[in-house]
Amino acid sequence: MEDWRVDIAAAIGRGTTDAQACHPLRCAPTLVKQRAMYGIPDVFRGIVWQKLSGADAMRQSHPSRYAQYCRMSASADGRIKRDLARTMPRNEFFSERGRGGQVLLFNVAHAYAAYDDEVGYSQGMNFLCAILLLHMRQEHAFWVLVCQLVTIMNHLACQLAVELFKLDRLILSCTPSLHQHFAEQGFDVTTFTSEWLLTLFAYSFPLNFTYRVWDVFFIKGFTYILQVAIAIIRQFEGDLLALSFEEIVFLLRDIPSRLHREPKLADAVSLLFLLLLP
Amino acid sequence: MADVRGKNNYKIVLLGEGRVGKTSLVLRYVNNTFSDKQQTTIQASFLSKRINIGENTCNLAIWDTAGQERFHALGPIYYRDADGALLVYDTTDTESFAKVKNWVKELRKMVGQEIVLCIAGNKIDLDKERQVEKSEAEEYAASVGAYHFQTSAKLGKGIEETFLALAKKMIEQRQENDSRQSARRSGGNAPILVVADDTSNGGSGAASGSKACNC
Repeated sequence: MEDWRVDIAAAIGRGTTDAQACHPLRCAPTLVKQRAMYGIPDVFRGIVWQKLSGADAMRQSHPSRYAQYCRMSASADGRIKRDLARTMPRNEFFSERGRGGQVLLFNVAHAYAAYDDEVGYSQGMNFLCAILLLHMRQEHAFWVLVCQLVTIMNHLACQLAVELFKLDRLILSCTPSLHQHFAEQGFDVTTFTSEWLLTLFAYSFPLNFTYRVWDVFFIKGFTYILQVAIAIIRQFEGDLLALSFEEIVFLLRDIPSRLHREPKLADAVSLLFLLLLP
Repeated sequence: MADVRGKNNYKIVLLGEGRVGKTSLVLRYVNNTFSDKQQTTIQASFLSKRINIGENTCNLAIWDTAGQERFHALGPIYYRDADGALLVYDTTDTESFAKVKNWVKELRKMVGQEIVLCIAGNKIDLDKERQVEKSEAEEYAASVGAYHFQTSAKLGKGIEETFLALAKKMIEQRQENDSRQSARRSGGNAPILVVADDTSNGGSGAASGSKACNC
């Protein structure tokens, strides 16, 4: 954290580590990008995400828009409400029924559904909203959703199969033996990884892991999500090669909780991410 | 699906609207656990359970799907080679029951009569809020040739019975299909054999007999 400040300060040629001067928004965007690739300190994360996605500028040029969308009616309200208590229910911020995080979650999802009548609300969005709300105020989260995430969601709504196919081909080219093993076991990787892609790893992975992925995702876009998926699969390649259909399914589903349980493993996977960077 | 589609392996797919309790039903059945902090299901998941029925041991491969309309298009991937479908609705939500009816129509149209259907009305622990009457649901289930059970994943009620009935019927159905197929393969001499096989299965001899004659 302090390093981040020092580094930024050094890079912009100031001999100060004063928080105000080193505020990410005051740094050159390219520098922010460079730094963000290696992880954004938690306190800056919300603000850097807004900057990187362009949400910051959008919000400033449409000051009262969010409040308007909140007041409008949306036909998706029923479906949104249904998922409120089913989004990160074990996270204390979202665990209280009808209060705290759940209210914010409803507001943001509702405002989005009012803003984009065609897409409205779709499952998966709730997890994206939740991740954002853990870092920023509801209005800010709404604009990040509009500026960055929704393009991805819309893309996935009609192109998920294509992206999953890409993932399958990537496995074939990166690790042909694993691809063959999957085929022999009748295991279709696309069936069991759509959740990783649809929620950008927000569904069940440790939060720090998800944040870290998002830091880079905001710069490199959806390609990075596929790269991470491949990195994870490769990390477990040795294990997977020895498993049967059913065991493969269990292993893949167990990966998030293993990362929770085994911090060393999480570190190893994070190191893999660094290798993905240019 | 070499590993899953063996002789004693049966595939069950769970379908139904979001939040009716599909995941909770499976988790209660397979792991005997329940949590009211269950996350929304985004992609299908898979659990298996081995059960003994009479002298047979069979493996149930249970596919749990995501309920939301947006993922409806993925349905065929999961149900196309299923032996049975468990259609779940929430007894406190009329709409979810209507959704079950849609699934029945779709399955009958796409997969035909060979898939065994079972309808489960979940959340009977919330009896005060009940909206779908048991008699109404039973009547409907009977009209489409499906079983009907009332369950509570929370209390662990009715779930063993549901899966057991489904499993028994799937075994019966597979035996019937197998004998029909072998009858087809053995050509002109088949009908006599088929009739004998089918009576032991308790009925529908006429249907398979006539098919055997056709080939």
